[in-house]
Amino acid sequence: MPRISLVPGLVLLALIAPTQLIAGGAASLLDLSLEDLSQVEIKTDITSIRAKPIEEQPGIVSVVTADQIHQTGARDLSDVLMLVPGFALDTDVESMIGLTFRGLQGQEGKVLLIVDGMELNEPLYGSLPILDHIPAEAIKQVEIIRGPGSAQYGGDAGLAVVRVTTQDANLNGGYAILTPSYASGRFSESYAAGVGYARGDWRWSVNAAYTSTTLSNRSYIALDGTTVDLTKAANMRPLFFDLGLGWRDLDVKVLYDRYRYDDLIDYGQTVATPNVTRFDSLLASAKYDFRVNESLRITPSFFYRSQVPWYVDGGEGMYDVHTERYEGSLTAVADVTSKSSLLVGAQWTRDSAYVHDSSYYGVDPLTYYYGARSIAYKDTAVFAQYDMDTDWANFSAGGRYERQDATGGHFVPRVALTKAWGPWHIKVLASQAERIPAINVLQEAVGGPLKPEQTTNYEVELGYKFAEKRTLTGNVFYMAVDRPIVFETLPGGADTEGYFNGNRISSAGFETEYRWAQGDFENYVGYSFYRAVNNDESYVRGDSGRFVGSPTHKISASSTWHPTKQLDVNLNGYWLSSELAYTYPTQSLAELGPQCVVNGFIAYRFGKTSIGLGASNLFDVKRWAPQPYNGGEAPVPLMGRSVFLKLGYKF
Amino acid sequence: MKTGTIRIAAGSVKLLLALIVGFFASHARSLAQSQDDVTVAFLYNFARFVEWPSGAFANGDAPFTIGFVGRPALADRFSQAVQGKNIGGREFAVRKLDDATGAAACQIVFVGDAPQASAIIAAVKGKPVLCVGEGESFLATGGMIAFSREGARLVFDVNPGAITAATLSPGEKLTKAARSVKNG
Repeated sequence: MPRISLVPGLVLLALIAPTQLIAGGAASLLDLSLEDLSQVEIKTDITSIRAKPIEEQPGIVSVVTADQIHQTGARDLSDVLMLVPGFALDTDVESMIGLTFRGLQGQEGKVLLIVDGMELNEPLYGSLPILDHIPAEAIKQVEIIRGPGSAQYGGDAGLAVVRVTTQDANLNGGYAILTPSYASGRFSESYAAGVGYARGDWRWSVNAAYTSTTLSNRSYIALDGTTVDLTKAANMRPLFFDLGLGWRDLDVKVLYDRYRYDDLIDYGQTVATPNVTRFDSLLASAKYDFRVNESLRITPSFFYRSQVPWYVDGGEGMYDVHTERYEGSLTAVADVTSKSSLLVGAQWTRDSAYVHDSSYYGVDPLTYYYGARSIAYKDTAVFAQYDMDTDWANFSAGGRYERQDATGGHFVPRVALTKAWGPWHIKVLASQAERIPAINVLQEAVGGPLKPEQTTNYEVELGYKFAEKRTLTGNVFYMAVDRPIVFETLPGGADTEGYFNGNRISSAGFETEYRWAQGDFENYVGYSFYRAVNNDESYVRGDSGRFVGSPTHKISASSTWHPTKQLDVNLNGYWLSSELAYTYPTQSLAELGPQCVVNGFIAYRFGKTSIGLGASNLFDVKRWAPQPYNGGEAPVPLMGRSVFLKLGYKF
Repeated sequence: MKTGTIRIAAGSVKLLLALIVGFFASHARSLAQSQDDVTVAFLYNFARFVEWPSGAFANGDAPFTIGFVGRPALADRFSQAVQGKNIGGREFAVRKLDDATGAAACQIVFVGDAPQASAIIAAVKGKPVLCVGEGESFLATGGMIAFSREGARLVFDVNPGAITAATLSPGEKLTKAARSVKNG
C-alpha cells in the first residue's frame, strides 16, 4: 500500500503558518442573540484536537446523547449501537457476543471501546463482549468514529472507536433506576444509581449498575444437532461501577467492570453444566491538564488496567490468566495560530500476562508462554496531529509511529479534508491502522511470526442541513485489511490450527442517516450497505461478495413523540438482511434471517419520578449472533420478546 | 480475483498536501466552542436583557458584579471573554465565591455548586440579584434561570415570578428565548 509521508507537509506548515497567541472561545459568541445561542451545537472532539461541530470533525462521527438513549428505552450499549450504521452482533466462542462492523469481524481488537478515557478491550485477544455490557443509565454520551482511529487511539482501533462518557459531576444531583423485565417465564432485573456534584474546585461522581438476566429465551442448536435451552441457565450478571474525582485540572477515574455469564455453548458443542465465564476489569487513570498559557496545554497521564479475561471455570478445568497494563503518556496541545492547533504526544505501555491455571485447555501453566508462566511486552508510540481551519475548508493531518517488542515499528497516517458551506458539508478522509497482535494471538501463531494487520480506509461523506433539525448525510467507503490475522487450520499445514496472516479482506459500501424533527416528533432513519470486495479469504467471504455472519443491508430507525413535556412515546428498531452462517444440519453456509426487530418504550415523568413501560423485540422475531468465520459454532440465538418497566428517581 | 483496487501515488499525495496547505494558510477562521463558552455567552446576555433597579448599584461608577459559587474555571472563562465589554457603561467585576457570603453584593450569582443552591437563594431573597443555576430542580428551589442540556444544545428555563420578586425585570427577549417559562 502507498505510504503517505507527512514530514514534508508538516515542515511546510511550520514554515508558512504565522505564530499568534489567541484568546478566542466564548468572546466570539457574545454578540449572538439568546435564540441563536440556544441553537449552538455543543461540540465533540473525538477526532479533532479542539471541539468542533460534527459536520466539521475530521472523521465519520456519530454522537448519541443520554436523552436519545433514554427515549428509546435502551438498556445497555449494544442497544445503542444497533441503531448506528455499521454495527451488527456476532459471536466468537463460548457464547461471547461481540460486534461486526461494516461486514468485518470486530472481535479480537478491531473495535475499540473507551470508557471515560480508558480502553476496555482485553489484552489477550483484544476481545470486547458487548451484550448487556455498559448500562445505558450510566451513559452521558456515546461518540463513535466509523473507520480507523489508530493514529489517535492506537492498535485496537482498526475498524471503529466507541467512546463512552459516563454521567459525571455535571449531574448536580443523582438518579436511581430499577428495571424489572419478563420474558418466557423468566424474570430479570437491573439496578442502576449514580450521583455527581461539583463543589468549589472539587468534583466527583459515582455510577453503579447490576443486571441479572439471561442470554436468550431460546435454544441453541449446535452444528452436530445437540441442543440446549438457554432460558434458565445461560445467566448473565454484569456489574459496573465507576468513580470520578476531580480537583481543578486534575482528573482521576476508577472503573470496576465485572462481566460474568454462564456459558452453555463452549466451542460450539453444548455442555450440560454451564462454564462460569468472566471478564473482570479494574481500570484507573489520572491526568492533569497543565495550562502553560492560553495557547498551550500539556497533559501527563497515567493508566493502569488489571484484567482477568476469558476466565473459565468448567467441568474440564479452569482458565485463569491475570493481565496488567501500565501506561504513561504525555501530550501537548498548542494553538499554533488562532485558526490552527497542533497535538503531539508520546506513550509508553507495558502489557503482561501471568497464568494461574490453564487446565481447561490441557496446557501446563508453567510453560504456557514460550516455556514460561508469564510474559510481558513493551510498546512505545509517538503521535501528532495538525488541524487547521480556514474560510475555505478545514484540514487535518496526523500520524502515529509505534514500536512493539514482538512486531517492530510501524507508522500509520491520517489525513482529512472537511468543508462546510451553507447547508452543505463534505468530508474526504484517508487513514490507516495497524493492529498489533494481542498477547495470546502472538502465542498461538502458526507458520511463522505474525505481522501487524494493516487496515486502510478511504471515505467521503456529504451532508445537507435542510433546516435546523433536519439533516441528511451519506458516506461511501472502501476499507481494506491487509495481512488479516486469521484463526484457522494453516493452509497446507496438516492439522495445524492457530493464527496466521491471511490474504486481503476488504469491504466497500454506503451509509446514510436522515434526522428530522416535526412538531412533537423526533425521527431518525439510517441505512447501510456493505459488500466484500477483493477478498481472497474464503472463511469470511460467502458468495457473490457477501460476508459470512454479517448482513449486506441494515436499516435502523427511531421515532419519538412528545405529546406533552412529561410524556415520551418511542418506537425504534432495525432490519438486517439475511446473513450467511454455518448451521445444522448441513454444517455448511446457509441463509439466516432476515431479522426485523421492533422495540417500543413509553416514559412519563412527574416531578422527580419517572415510570416507563417497554417491550423489546415486540414481534418476537428470531434474532441471531452468527460466527463470522468457519469456527465450529452455530449461530447463537438472542433474546426474543421481553417486556420491562423502568422506575426512576432523579434528584 | 481483484476488482477495482484503489491506488494513490505517494508523490501525488505529497503534492496535493502541499497545495492544500499553501492555499488554506491565508484563509483561516475561528475555532468552535464548548458548553462553557456557550454558558458564558448566555450569562453575558442575561446581564444585557434583565433590568436592574437603580438602587442595585452603590453608585454610578460601581461595576456590574457577577459571582460564581463553584466552577472557578467558568469564572475565569467569563473574565477573559468580557474583557473590554461593559453593561450600560459599567465594567464587569467577577468574583469567585465559596458560599453565600458576598452573594448579595452581586448583580448575578451563578450557582455552580448545587448543594448550596438553597442557601444562596435564601441569602439573596428580596435583593436585586439574578440567581442562575443548572438542572430542572434549580427553579423548584427558588432559582430564577436554570440551564439544561437538550440533546446537543444548551437551553434555559425561566421563573419570572422569582425574578420580579427580586425587583428585577426579566424583559421580553429573555422570556421569549427561554425553553419554558414557569413560576415556581
